[in-house]
Amino acid sequence: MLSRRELEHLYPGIRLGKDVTGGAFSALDGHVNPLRLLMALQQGFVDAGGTVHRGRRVDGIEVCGGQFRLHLKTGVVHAARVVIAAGEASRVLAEPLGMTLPFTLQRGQILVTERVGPVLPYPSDRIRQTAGSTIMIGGTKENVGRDTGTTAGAAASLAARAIRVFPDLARVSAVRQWSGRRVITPDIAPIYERSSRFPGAYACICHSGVTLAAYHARGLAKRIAGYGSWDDVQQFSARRFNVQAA
Amino acid sequence: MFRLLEDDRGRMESTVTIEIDGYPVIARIGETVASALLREGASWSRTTPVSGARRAPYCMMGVCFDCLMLVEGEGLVRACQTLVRAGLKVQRQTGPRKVGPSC
Amino acid sequence: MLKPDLLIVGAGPAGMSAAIVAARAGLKVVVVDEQPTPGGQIWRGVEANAGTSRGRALGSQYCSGLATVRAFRECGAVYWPSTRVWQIEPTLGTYVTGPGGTRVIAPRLVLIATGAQERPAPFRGWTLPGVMTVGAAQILLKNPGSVPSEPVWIAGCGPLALLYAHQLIRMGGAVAGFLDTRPSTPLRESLRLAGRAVLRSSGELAKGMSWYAGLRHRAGRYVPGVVDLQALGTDRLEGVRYRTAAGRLAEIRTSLLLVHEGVLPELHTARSLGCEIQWDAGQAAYRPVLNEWGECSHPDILIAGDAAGIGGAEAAVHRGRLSALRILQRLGKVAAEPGMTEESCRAALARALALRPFLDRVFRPRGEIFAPDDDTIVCRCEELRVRDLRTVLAGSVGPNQLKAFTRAGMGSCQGRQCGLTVAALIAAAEGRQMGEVQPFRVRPPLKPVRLCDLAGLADEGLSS
Ligand SMILES: Cc1cc2nc3c(=O)[nH]c(=O)nc-3n(C[C@H](O)[C@H](O)[C@H](O)COP(=O)(O)OP(=O)(O)OC[C@H]3O[C@@H](n4cnc5c(N)ncnc54)[C@H](O)[C@@H]3O)c2cc1C
Ligand code: FES
Repeated sequence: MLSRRELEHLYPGIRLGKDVTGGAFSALDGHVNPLRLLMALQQGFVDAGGTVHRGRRVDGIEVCGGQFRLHLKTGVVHAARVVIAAGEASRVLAEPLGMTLPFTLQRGQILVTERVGPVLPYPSDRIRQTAGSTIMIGGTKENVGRDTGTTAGAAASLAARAIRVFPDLARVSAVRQWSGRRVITPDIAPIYERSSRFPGAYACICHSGVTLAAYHARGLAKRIAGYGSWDDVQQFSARRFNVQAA
Repeated sequence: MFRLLEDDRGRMESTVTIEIDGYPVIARIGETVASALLREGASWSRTTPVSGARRAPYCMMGVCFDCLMLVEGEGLVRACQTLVRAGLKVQRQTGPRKVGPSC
Repeated sequence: MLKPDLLIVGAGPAGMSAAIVAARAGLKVVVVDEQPTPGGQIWRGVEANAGTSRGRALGSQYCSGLATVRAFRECGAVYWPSTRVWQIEPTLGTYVTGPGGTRVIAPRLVLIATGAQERPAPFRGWTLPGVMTVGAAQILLKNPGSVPSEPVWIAGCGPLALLYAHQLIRMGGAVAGFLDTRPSTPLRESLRLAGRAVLRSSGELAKGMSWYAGLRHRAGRYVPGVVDLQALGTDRLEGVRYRTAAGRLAEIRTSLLLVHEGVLPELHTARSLGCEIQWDAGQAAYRPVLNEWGECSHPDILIAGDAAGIGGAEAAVHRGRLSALRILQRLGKVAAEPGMTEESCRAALARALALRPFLDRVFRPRGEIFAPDDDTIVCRCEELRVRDLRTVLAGSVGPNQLKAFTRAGMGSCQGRQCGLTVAALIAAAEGRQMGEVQPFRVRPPLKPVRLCDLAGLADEGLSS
């Protein structure tokens, strides 16, 4: 924990609001551009020999003679192993494969400002300056189902809080506001599931997929591929919520 | 790039002086900062935050955002939507704008 | 919080005409507009110009706007000039910032009458200082009465380019040359379209022909069939290179080039509300899906004027009135003016639109502007060239992913300058029709707004 004086040293280019009494600091925190990460992961996958079928929706998955049949509008794809990582669409796909995934949707709205000179050298979960030098202020937590609209009320409270912490941002302009849906499990931790009824079927859903990407791409992927033990992953099964296997 | 017409309406109009990057610029009451700027030798309004290239007012109707200037210290102001007034201080916006105690 | 019956966005011909009908019938009407005076694009500054030599040079159609502006000023509608709307929520909560600060309006119905913008037509060098649109130059002609300091080069296609050249010459300016980018129209087709239109709009057609004739005669040079432009220079425009359909390459020296490739409906406001749009092949533009009253897919929003599809000022007046009549109907009122009936408005609208199919065909933009070459900047704000979009385009990702991956459309103009080109590039890359590609999703704020203005709303107890 840091005092206000110590915080001031971390942010020499901008004043702190009078209500700021201190802060928390972790040397492990950082900012990853989620869009660049997504692009990099896709590129890495293709470079490793994978194929991405874009714009193809999976309408359902069947088990047929120890194989999985994925029904696409354009035809059927067969696979010996299938990983369901379809975000909020995962529940319907996983259910017939004997995996129940409890989660709710939570809307998060984020406000993005014009590009300004570098003033926030450290990211925080509420406000950070990106490599593109815009400032991201976020995010709300709202239970509104599938609605991804943005509201002026949310913009108002996000702006007010940003100014309360950094009053110098008052005259900076917001250029964009967006919202997305978070997949929230009952304990907020991810669910990694391995179907006991249909070996070869897996599910992976989470919030904070950007933060967890490194583990998903290495530790988890290795275990799904059959290297290493599933034992330590077991604790992330949905069974921890006492759900009945379907 | 532009000059004022000497027509009967023009003769009736009075002028004010504004400041662009510290230099006095004569403007007609009722015109915008961008339209006054376009009579200056250097008619560019900003440099881009990405490559630093110069830009000047392009559309004059508020849809291109290339006329962004600092008006009385305020950033991201479209000069083509800002009316002149006596003593108005305007600066070309060069690169991302600065934020901090001095602004 | 203001709670009028009707909020009108835009005080051009459509917005003012609707406001007059609605306010006279007793509705509480609020009109907001970014400009400091009423008139929209066409009648910009008409109150100050009418009756002066400048007004006369701008022409009788321009000066005729004075009557509407006066009627609007007196009709009883609340008018907020210099005010921008930066968000309309689906529940119609509307947020505006102007001289009176940031305010919230909660109307029963909204009429979007935000007009048009010029079609962005990217070519190499179009971001250089010294390249401007013809519309921009015409705005300067109206207020403060500025003309290019030297004989000017104009490149483009569309009635506005001709009208501007005509007005400029009448005001004592000079046209150094006109690079006509209008593709030649098959003679039979234009005759067929003109044939019908001539009967009803011979006056306008004659006027247009005379502008053309005057231009060919008065411009220093007239070059037909230009298919490609390149602006030359490093810090500012120094010259223009052009190529004609016949393959001729030529270069001119100039420090100012005015470009124009027609106009597009302003769709950002409607699209931010999720209103449905469709591709209009005749106008080579997206337009909102509307019924004959201007009602769109959102039950409480109507759209009139050029924002409903390009029709020109006169059509805008009648569309504005029709939408207002529908609004009166829905709110249980009747028009105060005896002659203001649906039939008369529809008849007048049909007359105003008679020439449109002919104009759309004759001034249909050349295909080249939808397929700029690799070096051309598409997104002015983020300075992205076609080349920068290629790898992402190859992956069939759609407009929203393309925006996310490249930042195209994420800058201050919010895709107003690149949206259509990006949609065209995606359509070409995937071999799809424009109608099958949806442009970027539009997100608020429609125009940038300061954090302190937003935070001010939190004090009003609006925060969630
Ligand atoms: C406001 C907000 C802020 C956030 N901030 C952070 C943060 O700071 N740090 C962090 O780590 N995370 C953050 N996140 C969360 C992060 O974005 C998600 O955790 C991550 O995207 C989840 O990845 P995923 O692969 O599980 O699902 P998704 O990213 O949702 O991917 C699912 C994919 O499956 C596809 N799909 C779905 N159904 C089908 C079907 N039937 N057929 C074919 N394909 C299908 C979808 O098209 C999609 O591409 C935030 C989220 C929000 C909304
Ligand atoms: S010149 Fe285009 S926004 Fe001002």
